[in-house]
Amino acid sequence: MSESQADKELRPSEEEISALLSDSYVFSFQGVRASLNKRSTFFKYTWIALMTVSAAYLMGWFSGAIKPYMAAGVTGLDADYQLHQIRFLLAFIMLAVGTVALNYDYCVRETFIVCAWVQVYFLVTGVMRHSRTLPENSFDLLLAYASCLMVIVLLLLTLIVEETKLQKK
Amino acid sequence: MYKLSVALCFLFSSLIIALFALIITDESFVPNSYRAEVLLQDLTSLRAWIVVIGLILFAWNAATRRPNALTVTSLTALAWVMFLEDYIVLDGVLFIANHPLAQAVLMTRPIFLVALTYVAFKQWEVDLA
Repeated sequence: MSESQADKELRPSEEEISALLSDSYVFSFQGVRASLNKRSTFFKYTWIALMTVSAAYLMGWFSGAIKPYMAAGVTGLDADYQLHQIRFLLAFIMLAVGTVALNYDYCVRETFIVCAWVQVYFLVTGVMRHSRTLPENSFDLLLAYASCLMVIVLLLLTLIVEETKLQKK
Repeated sequence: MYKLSVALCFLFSSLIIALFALIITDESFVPNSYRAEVLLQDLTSLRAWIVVIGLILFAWNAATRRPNALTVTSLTALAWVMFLEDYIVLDGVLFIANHPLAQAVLMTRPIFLVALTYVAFKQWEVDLA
């Protein structure tokens, strides 16, 4: 076999070269916008709604507008206030983890499922606590609290459903 | 190691269920105040139910050979959230556990968390294999 023939046999084909040059990482940074563009319009708007709710919550928290609707505002217990603070922190950690998952387009569905379970835990324990400790005739407070958390759970469920649809395609 | 971790998780779960059964039947557990009692009842009963549901889900998925990673990961996240809530926030509110069973729960909790986290990671490997 001549040297040039051996070279030809050793040279990779066009498909092999393109496969080598393509993105071979398990995950890669691409930005939220690029990741959202790959998904449905409904997913995109749901994500924007989730971000808007989070921003509104932050504004409400720092301006003190939501304080009367919090358990600590009614019971006056330090434990309730601290519990809210730690959940506030955990919620934003979950949001950050969700954003990172979207950024890398890696385990998005799984991340949102875990976040949804934690959110359901917040909802159930929060409503239970409110219903046990709130004074009578404060059903509106309980409703406001529950509906706020329910909206977040529903938004997360929508994201999960949309992501599942995308994965099935 | 995986089987040992699963066994540790089952052991801790059985301790939690036994403690909950003891709290609702035995009157020797006295919380610091009435409000603490309410908080204790709410949290303990809810957590006992989460443990029961988690055990059933895990056992069902394992028995039917379904993927279990997502269930275990969700339970691990919940376990860590509860741990953070207890040790950062509720430690001073809840009762001081004098009963040997409560002591056992408190002492085995960090081991349980590590074991559960290991099971969650390992389960992804098992499911993907």
